[in-house]
Amino acid sequence: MSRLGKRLLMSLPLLLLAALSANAVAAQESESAQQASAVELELVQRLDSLMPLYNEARRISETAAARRAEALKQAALTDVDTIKVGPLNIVALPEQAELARELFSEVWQEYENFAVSPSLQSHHISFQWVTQQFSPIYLEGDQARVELRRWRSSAFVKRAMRRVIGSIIESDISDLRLGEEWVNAALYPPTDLSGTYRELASMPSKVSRACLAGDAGGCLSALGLDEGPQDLESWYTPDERVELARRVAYRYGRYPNRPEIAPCTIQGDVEFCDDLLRNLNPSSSIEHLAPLGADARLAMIWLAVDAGGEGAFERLLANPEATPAEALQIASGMTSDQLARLWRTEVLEHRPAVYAGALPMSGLALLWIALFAALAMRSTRWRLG
Amino acid sequence: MYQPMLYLHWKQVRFGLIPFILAAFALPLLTVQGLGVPAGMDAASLDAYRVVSQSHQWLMFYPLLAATIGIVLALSAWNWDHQLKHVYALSLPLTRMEFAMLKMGAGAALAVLPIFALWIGAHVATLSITLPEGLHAYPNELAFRFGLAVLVAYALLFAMAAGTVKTTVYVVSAVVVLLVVGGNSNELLANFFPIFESVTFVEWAVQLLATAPGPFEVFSGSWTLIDV
Repeated sequence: MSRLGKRLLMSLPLLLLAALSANAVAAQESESAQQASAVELELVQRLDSLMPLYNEARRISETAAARRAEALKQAALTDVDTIKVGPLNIVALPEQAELARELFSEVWQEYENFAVSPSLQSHHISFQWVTQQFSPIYLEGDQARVELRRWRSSAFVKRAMRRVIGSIIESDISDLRLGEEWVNAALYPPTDLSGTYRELASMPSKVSRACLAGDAGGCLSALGLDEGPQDLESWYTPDERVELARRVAYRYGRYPNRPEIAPCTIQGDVEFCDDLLRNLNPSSSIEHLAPLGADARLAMIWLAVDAGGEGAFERLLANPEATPAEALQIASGMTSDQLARLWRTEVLEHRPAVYAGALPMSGLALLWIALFAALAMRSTRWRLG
Repeated sequence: MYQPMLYLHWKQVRFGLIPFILAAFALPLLTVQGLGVPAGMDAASLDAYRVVSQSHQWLMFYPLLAATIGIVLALSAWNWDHQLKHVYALSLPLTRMEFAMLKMGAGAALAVLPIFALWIGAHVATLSITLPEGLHAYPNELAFRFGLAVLVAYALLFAMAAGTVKTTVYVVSAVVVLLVVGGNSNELLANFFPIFESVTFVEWAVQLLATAPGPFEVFSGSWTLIDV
């Protein structure tokens, strides 16, 4: 056999192998291609099935956009006046501008100490107090609304105004350490501290009792304004901590008979209760477990700013990293003790009159009794004389 | 004439009234039951909280008891008259107005018994516990409110019982119809009275009756024996 023939013979297996491999590869590719096309087909089918939903969503979105545009167009047609009351920018219908000015001025007198609030200056507040449908009023930027039906009383309207103004000021306080660690809620004038008195008198806490008895340090502790490090032991006795854990756990949906908290709630293990309290809401600071709640703390802020006079709120805002106690001292220009005594005096003055209104109530009751008696004597059943 | 009327009413209602007198005496005692210092616990720490929160559980029974006593006295006042077709009243040398007035006075006098029982019970209850600092007892105010509530309920039911059955049916039917129809026609009412856009008719009616100047204002409000 010639050399060429031998080479051909030797390479025949290789050629065969190559051919077989190519065939296998081709077969695999063919299979893959088939699979791919099947997957592609499935995907296309799925996409097709989603198209009606997509079209519906697009239709709804376009309708909403059209309505928004229409509302903006309508709002642009609404004739409004912008008036200033202190730092408040109020947008009202022309016929209600004077009414808005009058009502906001009355409410603003209570908030004058907060005139430097940057949030108040940047917000626009729309006002409507109408019998029919509210007119669309378009506001840019930070905004709030006081929009009520005409049958609401003016007292109700003013409460709504206080709510709006208090919420706007809250956004300033929330940027401070005071707001992050201590309290963050809408700021109202403390006209009714009866709830705070009730909380102080009935809260199971040794520092609350000390505050009620006249200890200013107790008041500071009860408010979570201790100078030093604060913890549960400084506010509550062991029994009180167990009681507190039961109440707070219940609020977080951990009912007392659940096995994971039974060592605290049922067996009364104080250490377990302490850990439970600290870990129930890890995102909040320990100060939030101090005996007295938001209303008492907001009253303290209000009194501090009021006592500090002009520039008090400015000083408060100028020290965002001050601890709550320091911030209040800076704002008020008073020591913590003085502030605590001021706060305590104010709260004691608001001790609730538990049976307030008994005299008018009794007069009204007697009138109704007389009316019913007269009806009894004038029955149509029979008359003699 | 008043004394015989009083005696007749007492004769009619005494067996029904005695349980209510006992209940009025016992209710303040039940209110303070269990309030005190459990063994091994720090007394002052939890007392105030427990006193206020646990005593509030009994608050709803005071107006209920007052209303029940008033209703019992009022219905018993006219019971025999209804049964005997008012023959006795017609035979008396009195005008209708005088007769009704004496009868009402007799019932009101009998109402003093459960009111007095509650007043005594409230004082006994107050003396039986040591109040923590910051808490106060209001036995006199509670008894006063209780008395007014009894008399209002008594006067209302007395007036209804004094009338004919037909009148009572009319009044009760009107109330039921107003509540049912009013409850279902809120939307229609809202077209004419904007207030009903936010408030349901039933809610509005209840509020009107239960707060000043409504007749049932005395039943709402504070009924607490111990508070801050």
